Amino acid sequence: MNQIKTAVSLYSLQDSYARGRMDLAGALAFVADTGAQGVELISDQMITGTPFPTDETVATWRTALDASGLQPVCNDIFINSTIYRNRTLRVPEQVELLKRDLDVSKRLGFDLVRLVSDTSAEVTEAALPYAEQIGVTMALEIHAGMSFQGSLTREWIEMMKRVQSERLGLVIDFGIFCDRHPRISTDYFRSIGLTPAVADKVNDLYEANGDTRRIFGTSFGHGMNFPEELTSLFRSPIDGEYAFFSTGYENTPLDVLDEYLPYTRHFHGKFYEMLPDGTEYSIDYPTILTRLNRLGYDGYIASEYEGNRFTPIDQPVDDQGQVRAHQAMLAAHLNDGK
Amino acid sequence: MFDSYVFTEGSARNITEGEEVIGFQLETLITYYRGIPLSMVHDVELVVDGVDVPRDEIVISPNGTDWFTLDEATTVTTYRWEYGTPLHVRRLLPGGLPAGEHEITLRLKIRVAYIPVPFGGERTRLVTV
Repeated sequence: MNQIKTAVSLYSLQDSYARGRMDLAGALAFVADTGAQGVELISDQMITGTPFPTDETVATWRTALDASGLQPVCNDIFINSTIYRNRTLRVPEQVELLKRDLDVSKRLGFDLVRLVSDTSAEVTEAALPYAEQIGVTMALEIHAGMSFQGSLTREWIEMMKRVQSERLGLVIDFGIFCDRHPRISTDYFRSIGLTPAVADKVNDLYEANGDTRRIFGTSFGHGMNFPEELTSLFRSPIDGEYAFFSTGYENTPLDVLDEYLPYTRHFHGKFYEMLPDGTEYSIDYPTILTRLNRLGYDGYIASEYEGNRFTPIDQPVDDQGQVRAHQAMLAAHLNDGK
Repeated sequence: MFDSYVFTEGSARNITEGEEVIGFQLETLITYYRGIPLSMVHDVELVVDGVDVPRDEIVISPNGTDWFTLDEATTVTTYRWEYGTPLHVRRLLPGGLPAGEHEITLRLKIRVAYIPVPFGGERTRLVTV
């Protein structure tokens, strides 16, 4: 019998870590205490000296990981192609950076990495023989704002289908399944001066069209092709920024799972706001879990809390409480549809 | 988005080297969720009592020991600004800030691959020297 498992991405605990409420060992112990079986890491975030951490740093991570009893599920990596102000790194340079991150992931105990959206298909394919050699799977993140309809994502998926390697796959982020525009984003932008009529109009457009990326977006994905009925309401630069940000959520039909689950190595259980009744404000988890169980998924879903950046300035971030609530919801619905 | 991380409260102070006050400095956390090579710091701006600080009077350090002008920092790929660790931002100014209260604004921008425009945050604080 297939069994979906849960993990927590340490992305969720970024504020606790940055402000010293938790160190790395404390974060791992917390994740285990929520009931999760696995952990997702961002090595650039919490492993000092990445991509060349000292042996001592790696040993400290491994000791804390072993003590937590958690499975190392996925490491999130980036290719810093913008390290120089005056140029973008060329393909061979990006391949070298990618290989370094594959190496550090392996040293930390991971055999799956998440490639950030917009990672080039050409770079990935060039690094594939190395990934196969050391035994690390590279999975592209399918992220709202840049998901299946985005040009770079489409190119990458074409490459993946053509090459057919066990070491290539996808990580699907639940942010592509937002039935409602997250209200914490609206509340945050209101706190910095968003015009209320713009908030209402974006909300209406999201509801009427499924999401706003479909009407504001470009071939790349998110965008600023705002209709006149919206721009006529703009009173400050915050209004355009908010409208642009709204294209970073998508309401994709769950049918994409039917086609792409065979390629999917992992899911990001994106969440914006856990409500007191144990539901997520924007994303219908029970329905998604039901579909995944019917399709026979037996991998991980990692809690990925996105509320940090929408917390009004100097207000406390309840990342730990939100993660606990999210894990409790996953546990309650893990077998839905079976 | 990340303004809460900009300009750590209580971090602004004059800096003495030997007998001389050579400037003032403050600290900030990164306006992002991971560490980056220092060269990806796209810009740092300071405004003191309503006056922009000239760019060439600003130096930054990811460790409090090794300092770089903003022009130098554009090629510094070998030092990382770690997540959760302050960047030290210093204005070279003989004598430092005069005693009293000052309004200081720090603006920070970083440049990452998958976000089309440099982004960051800013924070203004009243500082008493």
